[in-house]
Amino acid sequence: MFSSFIALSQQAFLNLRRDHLLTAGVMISITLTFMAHIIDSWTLQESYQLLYDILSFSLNFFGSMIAIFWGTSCIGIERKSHYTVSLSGPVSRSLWLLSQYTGLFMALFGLIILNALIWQLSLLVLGYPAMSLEQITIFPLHFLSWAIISAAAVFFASFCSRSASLFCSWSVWIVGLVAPLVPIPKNDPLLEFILKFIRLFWNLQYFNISSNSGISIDSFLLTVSYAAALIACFLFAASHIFSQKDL
Amino acid sequence: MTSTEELVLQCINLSKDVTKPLSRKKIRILEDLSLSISKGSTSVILGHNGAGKSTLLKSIMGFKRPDQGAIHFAGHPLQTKDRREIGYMPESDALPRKLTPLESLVYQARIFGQKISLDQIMELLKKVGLYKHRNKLNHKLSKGMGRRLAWALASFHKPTLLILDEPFSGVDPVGRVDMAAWIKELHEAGTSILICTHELDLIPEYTNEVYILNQGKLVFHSNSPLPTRDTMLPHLKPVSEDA
Repeated sequence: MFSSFIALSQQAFLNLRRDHLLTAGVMISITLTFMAHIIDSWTLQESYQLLYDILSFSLNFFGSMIAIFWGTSCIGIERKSHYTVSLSGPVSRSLWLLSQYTGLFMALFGLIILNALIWQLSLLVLGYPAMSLEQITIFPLHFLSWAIISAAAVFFASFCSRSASLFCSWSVWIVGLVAPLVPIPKNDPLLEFILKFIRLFWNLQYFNISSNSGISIDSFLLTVSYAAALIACFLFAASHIFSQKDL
Repeated sequence: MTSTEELVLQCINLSKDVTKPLSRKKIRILEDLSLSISKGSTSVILGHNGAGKSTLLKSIMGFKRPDQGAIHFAGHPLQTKDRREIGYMPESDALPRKLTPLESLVYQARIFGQKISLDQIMELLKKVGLYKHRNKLNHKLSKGMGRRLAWALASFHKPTLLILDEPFSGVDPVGRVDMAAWIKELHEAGTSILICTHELDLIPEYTNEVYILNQGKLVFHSNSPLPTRDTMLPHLKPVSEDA
């Protein structure tokens, strides 16, 4: 069973590696890095903070977009080519779904490593010091947010059409980013409850650090646990739904 | 009568309904369908388009869940691990698009837990005429080549039961001859074969059993000799929905 799981995960990774989105992701990263340096020469703001903000935005926005696209396409219940051959083997649907997510996780990991390398290299070329250990936490934090949103996309893709799962994933991603920033109203108990609930259970701002000083290792470990719990919930639900579904 | 030990596959009273998305009307795709496949036999399921042939095969392969009935493999309820002994050639357009024929076979062998050397895979690719195209992405293969790869993926592990869904569809005349020869080769080696088709002319002459489905019901069953075309044809005519 383990060798089947590894083979399926590698197959999913290979599928995503050959996707044009990976090339697009790397190109966007390189373009934004150069744009950041151009804007840097025009502005009076502290240049390092500006670079850091642009990096954070590009990782958050473009990375999440790619994670959502990959999450919905790696399950793709409308596309028989995705599952027919592998599911005709001695593989349960839950194992198949988990292996697809593992392949996706590896592809996202590859993407964040590429982004980190491009960014560090350009900082060094422009004469800035290399990022400190705490500043580097921006990469694993954004990677975790991609992993969560892609798990959400896998969840929606396990029972929705591709366009519906893309729409739902984008919607929950925006809710997770915006809702924690909305002030909690005191005169509307229902809205207050909803906002508090989202802040507790679906708070993507934990992964969106704006200060260039990074976060402490303790907070980082807590955030990792939060992400792991969310991913586990999404995958458990997705696997349960996908196992019951007619394909 | 065949004893249960001699049966590879048994479908017992299978029924399956689907709901039309817009009208929410329920349609019966399979109705109280029972059939058995004996060890080493070749069986053919015939039926017009939409008769329920593919739904039956998808139910056997676990892609669809019957609402009623049971499927048994070698005398026990069919489980995921039993699919190690089943080869399935789906309808066209079901190959992993971004893999090459070589990669598809290497991964499939690992998924099935089969220890097959690269040389054996190359031999298989030569046999099915895909050696020259082994590094081309599957979605760039012609339809006929795709069917050849689908055959290789279904049969590489020498299954006990081979299920073929429209194996000749989209295949050129030379490919049809090759495909027929490969099916015969496995039949002679003792593999049980279940072929689903709507083409009467392509039924192998050594077929042991013929089943005809019409509107999800089993309307004809014959176990050797192979019935004549005239005997089968009336059962293949689709029943009007108004009737």
